[in-house]
Amino acid sequence: MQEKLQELLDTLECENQANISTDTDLSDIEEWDSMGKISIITLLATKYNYTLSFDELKALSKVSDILKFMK
Amino acid sequence: METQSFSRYGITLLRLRREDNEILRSWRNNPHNAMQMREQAGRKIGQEEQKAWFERIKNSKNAFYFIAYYKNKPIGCLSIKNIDWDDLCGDPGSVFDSDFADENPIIKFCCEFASHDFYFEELKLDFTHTFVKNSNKQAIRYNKFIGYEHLEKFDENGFSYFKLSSNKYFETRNAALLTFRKVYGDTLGL
Repeated sequence: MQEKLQELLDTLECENQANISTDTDLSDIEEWDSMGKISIITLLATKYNYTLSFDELKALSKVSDILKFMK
Repeated sequence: METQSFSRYGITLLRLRREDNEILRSWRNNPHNAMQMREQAGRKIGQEEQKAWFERIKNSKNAFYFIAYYKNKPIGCLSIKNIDWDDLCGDPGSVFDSDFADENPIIKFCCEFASHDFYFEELKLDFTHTFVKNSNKQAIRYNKFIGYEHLEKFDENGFSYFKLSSNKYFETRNAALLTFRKVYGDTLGL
């Protein structure tokens, strides 16, 4: 799980990673903006072969919600 | 050039009209957008000021302002100004309905790609360039995603210089569209 979390944070290019855990609200992450969302959509599509639907994207609330798709 | 509209990737760009002033002002005055402006950052634009600005730019030969529509809904304004017809370059910009753009990041990038297609294919510019606030990490990542290269040039007010050549743009756009099509091609009609 820790490796996936690190991959997620690297994808988002998070500068302040120290206080981010699986339970962190995405809205509290500065890099969770349109660019961050595109980066995660691309990661899931290219590496995990998962297409995030528009509804799933809107429903993402916590870091753990993204990690669920990284398998 | 008298182009009034341009369509790509499910986005239609229509030249800015006087009646668009208020919606553009509302996007511009959104606190998040206002803080990132190069000029008059954080300051709200008044109704009369907006009207006066429109009258100044409406017949400009060196600038194009478009309202972007997605499914007939206005979602942002894309522009290019200070076009140098000798050096074939210009200074692009964009401002979006923040709520829509946050929820629909791919549509936002489709707007950027549509507008840059217009700059490079229709206006036949060689490159575009812009200054971005050094503290605006979001805009820096955003510009890099489109293909802008950060040149180590800072102005006295803390802005960095970014440049995008037509070749670099098409390379970046094509790679991004491959992913967009794979992910949302059917939904977006890409």
